[in-house]
Amino acid sequence: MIFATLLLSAAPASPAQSESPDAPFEERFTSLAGTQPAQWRVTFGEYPAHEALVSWSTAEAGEVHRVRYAPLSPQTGEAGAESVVQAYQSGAYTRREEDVRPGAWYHHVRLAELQPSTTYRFVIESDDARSRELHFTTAPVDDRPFSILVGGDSRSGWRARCYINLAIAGLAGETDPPLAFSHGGDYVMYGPSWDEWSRWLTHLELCTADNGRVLPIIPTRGNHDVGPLYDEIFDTPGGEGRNYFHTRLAPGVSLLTLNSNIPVAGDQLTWLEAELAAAEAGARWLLASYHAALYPAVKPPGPAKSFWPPLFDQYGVDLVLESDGHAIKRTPPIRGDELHPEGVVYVGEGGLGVPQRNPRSDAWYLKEPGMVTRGHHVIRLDVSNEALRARFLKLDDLPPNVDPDDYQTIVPPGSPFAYLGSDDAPAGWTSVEFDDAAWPVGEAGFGYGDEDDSTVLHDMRGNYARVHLRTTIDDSAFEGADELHLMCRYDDAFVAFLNGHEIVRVGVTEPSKPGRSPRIKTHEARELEAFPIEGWREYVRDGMNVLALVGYNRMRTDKDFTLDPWLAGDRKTSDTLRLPGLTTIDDTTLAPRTR
Amino acid sequence: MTQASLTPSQRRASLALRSGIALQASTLAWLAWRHGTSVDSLLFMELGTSEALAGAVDRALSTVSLLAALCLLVAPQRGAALMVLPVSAAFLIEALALRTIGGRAYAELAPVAHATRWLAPLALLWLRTPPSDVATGRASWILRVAVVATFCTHGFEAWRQHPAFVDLLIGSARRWTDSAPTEDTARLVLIAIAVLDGLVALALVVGGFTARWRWIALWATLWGLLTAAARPVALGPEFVHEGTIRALNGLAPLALWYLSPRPEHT
Repeated sequence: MIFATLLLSAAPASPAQSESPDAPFEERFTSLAGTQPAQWRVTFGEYPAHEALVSWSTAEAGEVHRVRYAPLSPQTGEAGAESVVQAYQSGAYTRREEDVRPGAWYHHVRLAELQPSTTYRFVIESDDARSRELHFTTAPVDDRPFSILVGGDSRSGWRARCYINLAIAGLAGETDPPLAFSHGGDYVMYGPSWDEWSRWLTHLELCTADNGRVLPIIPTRGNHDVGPLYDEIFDTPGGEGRNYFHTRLAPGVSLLTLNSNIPVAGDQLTWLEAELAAAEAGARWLLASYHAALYPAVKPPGPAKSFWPPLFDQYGVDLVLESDGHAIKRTPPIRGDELHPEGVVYVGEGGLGVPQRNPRSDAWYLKEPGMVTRGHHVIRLDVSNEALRARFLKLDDLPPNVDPDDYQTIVPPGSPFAYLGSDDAPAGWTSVEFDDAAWPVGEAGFGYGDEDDSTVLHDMRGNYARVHLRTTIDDSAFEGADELHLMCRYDDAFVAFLNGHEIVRVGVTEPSKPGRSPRIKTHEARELEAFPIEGWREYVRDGMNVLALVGYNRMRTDKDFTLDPWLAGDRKTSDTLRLPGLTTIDDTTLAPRTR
Repeated sequence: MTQASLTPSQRRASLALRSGIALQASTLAWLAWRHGTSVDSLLFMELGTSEALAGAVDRALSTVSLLAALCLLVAPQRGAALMVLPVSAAFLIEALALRTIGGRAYAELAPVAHATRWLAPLALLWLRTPPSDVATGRASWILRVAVVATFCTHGFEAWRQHPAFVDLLIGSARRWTDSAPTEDTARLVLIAIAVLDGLVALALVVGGFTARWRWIALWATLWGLLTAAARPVALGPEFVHEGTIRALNGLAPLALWYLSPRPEHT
C-alpha cells in the first residue's frame, strides 16, 4: 500500500477550478435545454442505401418528436417532397446516482425506403423546438466510387477529441465528402456514465460540417462501452446482446462490424462465417471492424485471435479495422499468421482523442513494409472498382491549451511583480495597503530549474519552498470585462488573492490542525492553464487593486519551481479558434482480389 | 533456520507457493516490459502522468516483485520471507488498478478474483521455522480465504456467463476434439461450473479443516490448474501468459492440501 500511496502522490494535482477543456468549443454546441433537439446523430446499419436512423437528445421528455426530411435533387439541389416521420422510440437515458449532468431523453426516428446515392435534408423537431437544417447522403447501389472515414477511441483526451471532431467536420464539408464514419469503439471511459456519454454526444456535434452535413456513424462497441447507454444511443445496433452486423456499403462492398466484448467463438463466429460465405460471392471488397486488436501495436492480442483471422484468410477479407491500442499502425498483408502477398491488411488502432502511446515496432507484423507510429488520426478509405485506398490522416499539433491572444489582457504575460522568497509571509501581504517597496521586482514567471523562467530564483532550492508575488492593477483595466480569468503555469501549487480575497486555490490544502504544514500536490508546469474567477466584481475597488499570489513547492529540495501568472478578461469568440490540419502520413492502395 | 527444519508437508506447501509466485511474478514483469499492465494504464490514461513515468513505475513495481519472487524461490530462508510483501503488494496494486480503469468484464471484482495472486503469497510468512501448529494454522487460513475468494468470484462470473469463459469452453473443445459445443451448450455448462465452484468454496469453508474433506483442496488444485491452462489451450500459444499469471489458482490449493490434516491410519 505504500507503493500505491507513492503512485497517487506522484500523479499531478487535478486543478479543480481549471477551465473546462470544452470552453473554446462551447459556442458550437447546442444547449441541452427544454425540448431543443441536441446531440444529434445519424446511424447506418445493414442497408445504408435505403435506411438510416436519426437520433437526438432533449433535456425534457417532450410530447411530439419527429423528423422532416426531403431528398435533394442531384442536378439542381432543390428539395423534393417533404416527409415527416414520428419517433418510434423515446426514453430516458439511464443515469446513475453519481452522474452530475442532468438527465436527458433519447429519441429515434427510422427513415426507410430511402433512395440510394441521394442526399437527404432533414430537420429534427421536438414539440416546438427545431434543429438547424442538416443533411446526409445514402449509400450507392451501383459501383460509383465513395469513401468512408474510420477511427476509434475517443474515451478521453477531450480537448484533442474536439479538435479531431472539427477536423472530421472539415472532411464532411468537402465537395466530395465521405459517406459515413465507422467508429471503432471506446467512445467513453466508463460506459455506464451518463456524464461521459452526454459529453461525447455533445462533442459529436462538432463533426457536423458548417453546411449541415452529418456523417452517419457505423458503430462498433468497445471494451469500455459497457452498460445500457450504448444501446440507448445507437438503438441497439445488430440486436440486443449482439451488436454485430453486416453493412452493405455498396454492391459487393461489405463491412462486417464485430463485437469483441461478447463471446467471440460462439454464435458470433458462426454468424461471421455465414456472412462472409454469403458476401464472398460477387464481393469487390470485404472489410471487418472490431475493437480489440488482433495484430496489436501496444497491447496483447484480443481473444478472437485464434478464431476470426482464419475466416478472414479463408474468405479473402481485404482490410480489417482495429482500435484499442491508441496508436497508428498498418500491417503488411497477413495470411496464416505470417506475411503473405495475398493476405489481409490490418489497420488502426484508435486516435480520436485518447492520449497516444508509444507503440512497439519490433513485432514481425509491424516492421516495414508495415507502418507504426502515434498520433490523433482518422483513416480515410476511398473505395472504387479498381482500388481500395487507405490514407492515414494525422492531426497536426494542437494549439496551446490557453492562447493569450484569445483573451482580453488585464495583467499581461510577463508583467512585473514584487516578489518575496520566504516560507513566512508578512502579515497583510495580500492587501492593497501593504507596502512592498522593500521587495525586489521581476518579470513573471518566477522559478528555477526548468529553464522556463524570466526571473530565476537562484537561492530558492534548499532554502525556501514558497514565493510571494504582488502587482498592482488600476481599476480602469477591468473596464469592459464580463469575465475574469487567472492564467497560470505553476509547479507545484499556488493560491491567488485579489485585494486580499482568495480567488483561486490549486493543489494546496491548509492543514486541519495548527502547526502542521499545508498538503501540496505535485504538479508540473507543462502548459498554461486558465482559472475562471466567479463573483470577482465584488472584490474590485476603485483606484488601485492588488493581485497577490503565493506559489508552493512540495519540498524545498524540489528540482524545479514555476509561478507564471497573468490576468485576463473575456475570451474572444470561438470564431478565432485555430484548427489544426490533417496531414497524410501513410497512403496504401490495395488491388482487388481474384475471387 | 532453514527450510530443512520444516516438516515435509510444509516444505512441499512452501515449494508450491514459491513456484506459483515465481511464475506469476515472471508473467507480470513480462507484461509490464512488453505491453504495460493496468498500473501503467491507470497512471497514464486515468491520472494523466506522462507515458514514460507510467511505464517506469509499472516496470519498477513488477521487476521488484520478480526479483523478490526469485529470491523466494532459490533462497527460502527465514529472512527471505519478507520478500513476500513486494509480490503481494504488486499484485494487489495491479488488481486495484484494473478495478479502477475497468474495460474488462467484471473488472470491478478483480481484487477479490485475484486473491490467490496477492493474498495466498502471504501464507509464506507463516511457513517458516520453527514450525508450529499456530503458524501452520495461520498459513492454512490465509490460503483458505484466498482460494475461497477466487473460487467464489469465478463461480459468480460463470453464473453470469462471463464471455471469456464461453470462449474458453468452446475453444478448448475445438482444440481437443476438433468440434465445439454451441454457445447455448457452453452457457449451460457454465451454470454447472458455477454451482460446482460454489460448492467447492463452501466445502473449503465448512469442511476443509478435517482430513475427511482434504480432497476438496486437491480438486481445487486440479480445477485451478485446468482453468489456467485452458487459456493457452483455447486461445493459442500467444496466451501462455494468461495461464502462467494464474499459476497460484492451482498451486495455492495444492499448498492448502499439503497443509490439511492427513487421515490417521490405524
